[in-house]
Amino acid sequence: MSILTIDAPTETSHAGVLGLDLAGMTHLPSDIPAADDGSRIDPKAETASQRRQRFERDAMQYLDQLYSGALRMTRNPEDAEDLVQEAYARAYSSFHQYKPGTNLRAWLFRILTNTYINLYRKRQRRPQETDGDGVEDWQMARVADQPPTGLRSAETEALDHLPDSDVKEALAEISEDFRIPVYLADVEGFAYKEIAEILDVPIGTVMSRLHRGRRSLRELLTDYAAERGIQGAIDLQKEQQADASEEAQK
Amino acid sequence: MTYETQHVRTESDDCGENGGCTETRMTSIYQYLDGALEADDLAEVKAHIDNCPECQSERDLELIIRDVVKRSCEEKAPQSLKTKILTRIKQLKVSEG
Repeated sequence: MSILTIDAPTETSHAGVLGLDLAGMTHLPSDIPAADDGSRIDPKAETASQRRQRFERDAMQYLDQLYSGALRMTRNPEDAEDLVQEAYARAYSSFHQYKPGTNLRAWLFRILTNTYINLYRKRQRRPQETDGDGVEDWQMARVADQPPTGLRSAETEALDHLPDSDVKEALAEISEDFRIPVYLADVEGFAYKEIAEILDVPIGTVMSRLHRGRRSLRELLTDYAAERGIQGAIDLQKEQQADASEEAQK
Repeated sequence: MTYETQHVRTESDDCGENGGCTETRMTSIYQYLDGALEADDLAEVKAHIDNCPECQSERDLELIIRDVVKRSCEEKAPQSLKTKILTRIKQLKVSEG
């Protein structure tokens, strides 16, 4: 089907990401609009050492980003390092297929995602979620019922100050079919079309997964923030009581 | 490139009266923040948000979440990883051309 149309989002289907296999590696996104100015390079005329130099110069600059992405995929640093190393090795091996002048960052993220799906998902150290996105239906209903203005300002404040560990935990709770698109959009800033090419799914699927993933993430984060907001208020109250009794003893 | 936008809200919609209609509202807000709207739709959605306190609050909450998520996910790869990759690449035989 054309990527120009939106397919009907099905709540139960996770076939898109699961359907990717190694064959996907041969269909790399060469038509993603140019982001790097390397269009004058002819990979066919390059020597091996020139290609390695070009790879080191152009591809290695995205190491931190790929590692951050790998951490969110694998959810542990050891696997993330292995994954990034494997992805870079694969990218280097097929670097002659990368069309200079097209979006190298998206090309690398596609290889990272494919490598993760093919190699790492099968032997993850943490148990895999069954299905759904970690948020129960009653929680969904609560999001819908709750007016946005219902979020108290103390909670908004707490949300803004959530520790990184809470945010990572919330992301880790969402199943990867939703987590990876949210990561690619909200952290890496990829457009729907780029995410569709990285994940090899239609744009409509990207949009529906983003919608559901973001909704789940919001629910989890506002819950964490509410807990911390309430805890913060309790702590403050205790502090004030302690101060008051100190005053009284004087 | 263009694609159909889903349930684009307009200025005439009333978020308050129809009970919030969270799903359609959020779809528009996501598309708006993702830069995924065409000029016409963009103007309509923006005009609506500017006049709708509920949508403004949804937009602001979404912006805070994106900010927090982005901040939390920016990690630095260990230097040893870079060394490992560079060493591995040097050992890889790559076909010419």
